[in-house]
Amino acid sequence: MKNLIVLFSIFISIFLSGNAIAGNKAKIVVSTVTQKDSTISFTLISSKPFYMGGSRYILHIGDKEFKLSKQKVNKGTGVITFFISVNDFNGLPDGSNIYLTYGHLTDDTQNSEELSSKTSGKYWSLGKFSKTMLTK
Amino acid sequence: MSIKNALSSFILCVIVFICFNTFQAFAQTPDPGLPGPYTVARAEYNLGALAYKPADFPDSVEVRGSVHYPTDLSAGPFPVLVFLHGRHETCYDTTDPSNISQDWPCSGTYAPITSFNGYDYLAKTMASHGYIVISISCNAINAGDDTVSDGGMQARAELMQHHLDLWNKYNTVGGAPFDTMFVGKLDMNNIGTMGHSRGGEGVVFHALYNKLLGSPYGIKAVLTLAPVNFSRKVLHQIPLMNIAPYCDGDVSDLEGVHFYDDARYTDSTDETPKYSVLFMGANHNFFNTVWTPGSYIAGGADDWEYFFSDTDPQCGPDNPANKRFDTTTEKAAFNAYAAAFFRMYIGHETAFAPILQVNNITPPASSKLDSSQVFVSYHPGHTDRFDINRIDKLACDTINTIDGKVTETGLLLPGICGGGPLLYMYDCEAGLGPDQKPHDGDIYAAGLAQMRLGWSSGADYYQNEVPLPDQDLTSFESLMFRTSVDFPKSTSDSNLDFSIQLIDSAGNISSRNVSNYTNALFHQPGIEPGDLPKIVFNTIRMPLSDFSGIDMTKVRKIKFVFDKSTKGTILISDLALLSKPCGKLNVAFDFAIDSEYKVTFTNTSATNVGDTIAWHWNFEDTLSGANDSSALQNITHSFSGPGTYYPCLYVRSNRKNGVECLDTFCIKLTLSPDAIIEQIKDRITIAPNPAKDYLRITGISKPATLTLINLYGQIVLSATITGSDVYLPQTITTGIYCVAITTPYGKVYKKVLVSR
Repeated sequence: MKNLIVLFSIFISIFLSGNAIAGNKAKIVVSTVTQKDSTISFTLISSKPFYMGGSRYILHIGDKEFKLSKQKVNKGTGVITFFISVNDFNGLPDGSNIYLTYGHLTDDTQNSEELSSKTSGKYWSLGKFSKTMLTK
Repeated sequence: MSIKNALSSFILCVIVFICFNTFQAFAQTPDPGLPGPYTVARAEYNLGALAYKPADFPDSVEVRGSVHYPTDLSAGPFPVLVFLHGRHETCYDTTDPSNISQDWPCSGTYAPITSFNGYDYLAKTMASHGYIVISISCNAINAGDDTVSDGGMQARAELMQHHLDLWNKYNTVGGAPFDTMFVGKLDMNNIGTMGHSRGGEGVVFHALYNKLLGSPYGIKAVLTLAPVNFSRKVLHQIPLMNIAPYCDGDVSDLEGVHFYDDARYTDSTDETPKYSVLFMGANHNFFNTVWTPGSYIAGGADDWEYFFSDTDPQCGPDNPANKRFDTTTEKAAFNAYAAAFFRMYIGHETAFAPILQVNNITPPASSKLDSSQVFVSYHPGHTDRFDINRIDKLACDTINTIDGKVTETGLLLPGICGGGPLLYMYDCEAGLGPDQKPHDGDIYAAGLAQMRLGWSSGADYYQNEVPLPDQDLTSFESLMFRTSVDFPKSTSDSNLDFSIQLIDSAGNISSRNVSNYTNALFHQPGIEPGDLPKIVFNTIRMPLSDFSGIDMTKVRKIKFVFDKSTKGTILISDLALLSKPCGKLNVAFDFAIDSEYKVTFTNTSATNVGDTIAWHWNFEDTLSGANDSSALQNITHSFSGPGTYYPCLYVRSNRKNGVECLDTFCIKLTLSPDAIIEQIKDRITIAPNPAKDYLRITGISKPATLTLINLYGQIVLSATITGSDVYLPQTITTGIYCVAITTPYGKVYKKVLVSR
């Protein structure tokens, strides 16, 4: 388990350092998914601080949206944790697309791939959802 | 030319130049953004970083703010403005300002970022015009607002109300740190609020919260600057202005336009106007000096750069041809338009109306803008406009709001769109990103319904018929509608143009080019994928006085004729007529002579619902002393003797459109026994005539009696007139009768036919 965490950390470091030369857009990945009492904390990290402005970061998993969050700055990088009820979490289908948007970027379709192409600056694809992401 | 002649010519030129420019200056709307006559002082108050706990928020928050005020407070009380900044970094490391924090309270070497100081330039302008301007800090809410479902909006409302409570105390009994300096100096019933970003939705929540509490404070104007609009609350009965920056990188879907759109037709009693201003080169952050890179020690950011391309031709800072506002221009533009709004609705300076109401599209000089850089939408209060076609229902492409027929000929894809699935209206432009169509609805909330008009021939038209009862347009000042170029379906080489025609019942046509009145039919700039160009609606206003050669009392058709640009597509909404500034202020009164010189005047003036009305009577009867005038709505006046008088009623109406209207009605009144009976004779009416069962008698002074006499001189009926009706017994047969009415001043004779 310890080796896995080390490997994960190395991956994150490489991922984030690569971003420095990739361009302006922040690189964002899922960091941890943990549970405390009846709340799941779904944490993302970013190569630069999450923007603190008017719009909200919204975590989309499949067709569900999660808006309750808390963001922090950590030594020049960003951390944002979304709070999801256990009931909601258990209802999410494995294999769903996970993506983050800055702002309420929806239109008539709610199709994530189409939305991605229309909102490039404020859309981050974060892979597929699995309940096994939860670290007990 | 000799030196003397040259000098003379030069002096003449200078004189001509000065005269010409003086004339121009008088002809122009005054500039609201220039400094006023008061010298200004500034102070801060800070009751602690955790001094207040909003009921609807998990954390305690700071109570801190600044105040700008006229140094000489002796002319108070002054109107009040309250500013609320938006969401931004909260703290910075004083040992290394490049380190910022999003927590609260600040700890260790970290100090608060003073976002509330970012609008000092506007506060200073307004204080110089005699306002007390309070700007409050909101860092604690910013640090925790995404942990609550409304994004901290109710907490912002409660914090604002807490500050107003505090200032109410400073205004009544005083308190630290100001002691009694502000006692009696604030007009807490005349307050304007401005909120930026999340503060924008915050001030809307606050206005609604203040109403919920019974309006302890008079919120008279609300300005939302680049606001979010998470909850889609709708504000009515308070003038509202939204400002949308085209290059906003943060709230890039310009969702504040919904504050305007949603308020238009959802309260049929709303007398107050809505405005939405589009700044073509403004971003989100440069309105606040603390958020502007390089003008504060920490935390500044260019929101456009953070999310979007540096090279966009409209908004990209690294594109040498970009059309962004520089930091100075952005603040100057906001300063001018915010000042116009507050000085009009808080200061009642109606001279600024043309800037806001699209009858002067030249921006004030202090804004540093030209007429291609700023556009305004204007929605008058309901008694100030007459809706021809609201374009708010699917059927509006065949039948308009006043039940007139709507026809289109030759148009491409005509129909209602954009309101979103909730209104069963399809997307106007499905290929665009959400940022590119700010007005549209989505799967969660309805948006702005729009009528698409695309043409490819000069014979194409769109027409609204005006039903007979509504064809008299003489009480209206302008025709207005909102529009935007539908850029995916239009070429970008030049502004679009078309004609508006008014057609009267005789078929006479008056036509005007739209391009004479607006620059709003431009092809929207920018290429940022998913964000630019954007479809944003702006108002076009055309004075009806420009439509000559037709009978304005019988206008049957309002016709858009696409005979200028060879092809193009626009989206329109809100086709309406704007009332003349004072609308229907029909001042009149009736009177009855109660006794020899005692007259009761009854006010019958018809003004617009919701206006504040003041009455003033003057009887031209100087011998009656103080009783010669009155401010009562109805009045009985005892004239001092026989003679001819000219009683007048002056009505002053403070219209909710900000315009003060004054109208007068006078009559000639002769008081002598003979004259009185003559006047009574003229004023007494008997109806119906022919009569069947009763006679209705009006205009008499009581006590009075009625005698009915037949053609043989026989009295067939005698009655005392108690109400207005005298019933005829069945014994009175068909025939002509003489009616004698006896009043305190003598007898009046009338003729009446009874028909059984």
